[in-house]
Amino acid sequence: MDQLSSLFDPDQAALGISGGSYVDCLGAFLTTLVSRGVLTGEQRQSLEGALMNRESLGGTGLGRGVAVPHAYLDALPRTMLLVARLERPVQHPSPDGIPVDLLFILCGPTSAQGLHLVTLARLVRLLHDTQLLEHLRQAASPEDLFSALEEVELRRV
Amino acid sequence: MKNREMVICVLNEPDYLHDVLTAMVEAGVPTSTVIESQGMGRILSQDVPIFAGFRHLFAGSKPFNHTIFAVVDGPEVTARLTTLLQDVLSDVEGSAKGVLFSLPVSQFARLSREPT
Repeated sequence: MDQLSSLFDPDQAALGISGGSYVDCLGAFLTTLVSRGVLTGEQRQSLEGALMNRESLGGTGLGRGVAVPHAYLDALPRTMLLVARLERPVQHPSPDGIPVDLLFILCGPTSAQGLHLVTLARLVRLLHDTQLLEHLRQAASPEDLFSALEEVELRRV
Repeated sequence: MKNREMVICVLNEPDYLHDVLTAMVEAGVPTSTVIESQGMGRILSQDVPIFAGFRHLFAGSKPFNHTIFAVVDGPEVTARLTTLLQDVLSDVEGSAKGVLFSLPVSQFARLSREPT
């Protein structure tokens, strides 16, 4: 199994994303990634649409302030994990109703469907880890977010 | 040729069923069958009067457990699954969280015709 950290680098993370709603925050984060060259403008538009389509099937909130929006997008060259911490939590459907402040976006081409599914399951398991969530909320930089993910993968299986 | 195994997991923590099934996906087991089941001890102590004196042994236990069957591609998948399930259930107190064991599979066939 690929480690989460192999799908993620600090360029793919941002802190302090703000917006009045979940959709606003998602859009603002994707725009940030375009400005960094992580996504092209075209990929951004397609990804936003694919994520919203997936959302219409059922909420991607896990609870405890975490959401894992995910979608296949053949315009992407590889499976990627994009991580955002929001300035303020926003309402988003979740089992416990707690507003969301951590977004883990999993996206990639349909040719990597197996990896996508296994990674999603791995994310869901590891995001139950209370210590990881604390580290993510205390992170001072995208590099700290990356370290928190590396740490949990060393500590857990 | 694959050394397929049949994995049987009896899970005594119904609240963790979704976590367990998610861990199975992570381990590379995308399909399984889940059955709601009951332990022998509970049935005997509830339904057979001679064993009624043992009811205290099951006080507080859940009335049902789940039995999960899956055919996996080899012992390495079973080992990986075991490790993940132990991790998932690590924050559950007590020792009767469930069991997992595997058996060799001598034959395996999908009950559908290959597309022509």
